Amino acid sequence: MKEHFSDEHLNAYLDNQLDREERIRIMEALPHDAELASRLCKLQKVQEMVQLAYHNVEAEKEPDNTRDVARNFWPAVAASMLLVTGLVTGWLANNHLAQPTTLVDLSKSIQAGNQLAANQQEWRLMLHVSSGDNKRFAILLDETEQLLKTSARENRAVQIEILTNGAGLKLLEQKDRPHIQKLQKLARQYNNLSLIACQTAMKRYKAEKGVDIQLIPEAGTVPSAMHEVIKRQEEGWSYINI
Amino acid sequence: MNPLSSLVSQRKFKQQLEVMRPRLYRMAHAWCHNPDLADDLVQETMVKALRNKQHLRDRGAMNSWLFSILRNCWCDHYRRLREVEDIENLVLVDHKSPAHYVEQNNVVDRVRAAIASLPAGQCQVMTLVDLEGMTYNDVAAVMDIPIGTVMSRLCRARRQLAELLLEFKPETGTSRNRLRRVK
Repeated sequence: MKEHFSDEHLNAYLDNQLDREERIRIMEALPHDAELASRLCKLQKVQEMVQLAYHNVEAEKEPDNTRDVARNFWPAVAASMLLVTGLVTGWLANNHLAQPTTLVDLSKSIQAGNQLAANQQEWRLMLHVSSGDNKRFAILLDETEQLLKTSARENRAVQIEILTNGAGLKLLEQKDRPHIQKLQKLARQYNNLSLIACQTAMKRYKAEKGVDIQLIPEAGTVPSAMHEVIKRQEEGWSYINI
Repeated sequence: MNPLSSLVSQRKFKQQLEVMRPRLYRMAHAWCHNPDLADDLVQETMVKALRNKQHLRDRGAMNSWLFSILRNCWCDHYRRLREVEDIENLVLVDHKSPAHYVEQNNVVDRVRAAIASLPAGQCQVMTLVDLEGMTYNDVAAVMDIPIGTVMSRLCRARRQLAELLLEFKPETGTSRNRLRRVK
């Protein structure tokens, strides 16, 4: 029989206010109780939304004639916080739900914890890359390929969107890097894989380096990573930060 | 204390205060939902802190002490305006319906509007935990309330926000497994 945990319990777990014994009880229950994991995820989302809402409120303190301009910077702030949301959600899945070792396992875990996604037949995953680490690129591509292959073999509908910003833009940059050939091959082979770069990050790249970043032809762009993340989350996509 | 070390100590205290100013402002903004009033409350807090710094014996507890002062300033402000109403139950911004939150495009505005709909006591507890990362014990000290009240207010606050922002289905039935203790 499943053990029942109150919302007070889950809040205290989330806020790291439980002693070791209580904490372990919840950790042990999480992998076997999707409803519990879902409740915890929602409380965590609320906490992150509160943090997002006041993430950089000081920056809004502009003279009255520039206040409207300052408001336009909020999407960027929201973007950074939502990326944190994704990271934490990924961490949650990674550490508590099923101890997954592959993207396939991780996707299953997140699917189980995401009520919106659980109601859908199709797996829809947004993989967000903001680091320029070549090792991560290699792992990302291996795992993505594995997920696409497995899904094709098992006739499971899956949509994957790889969203890049920050140093992650290197993933899609038209340069002679070890991963590029494999990435282009995957993008051509699977039409359910899309590669997206954030235009805001591209502009920042140009401002810093003085030249436009050249993307591989298979990559598309969106005006802002934040809007893309929000849009996808509202559509029920699961989000994983790589 | 010799005059030189007194000067150094005073200077250090002021520096610590300045470091805390943005965090105090963020909290004040989250509580009163008004940038100008938040500025005034922070200024008042800083003045009171400087005036009463001899009461702070443990510099490690400075942050909690400052938030206590901020809370007192905020309560004083509203007591001056509303002599009768209980500040803990005061809802500062009363929107018409849950649809209001859904209709707002900007996620930040949506969340802020939802936070503003909470009773002040719940809003304070939740923001001290979520924005400052305070322990429940520290929040209880800042708010001068029992830790059980901290937990129940936090629970109600998050549940209401979840309902407003995430279509959350609250916990149903009686809790068979009460939370026995926290750290």
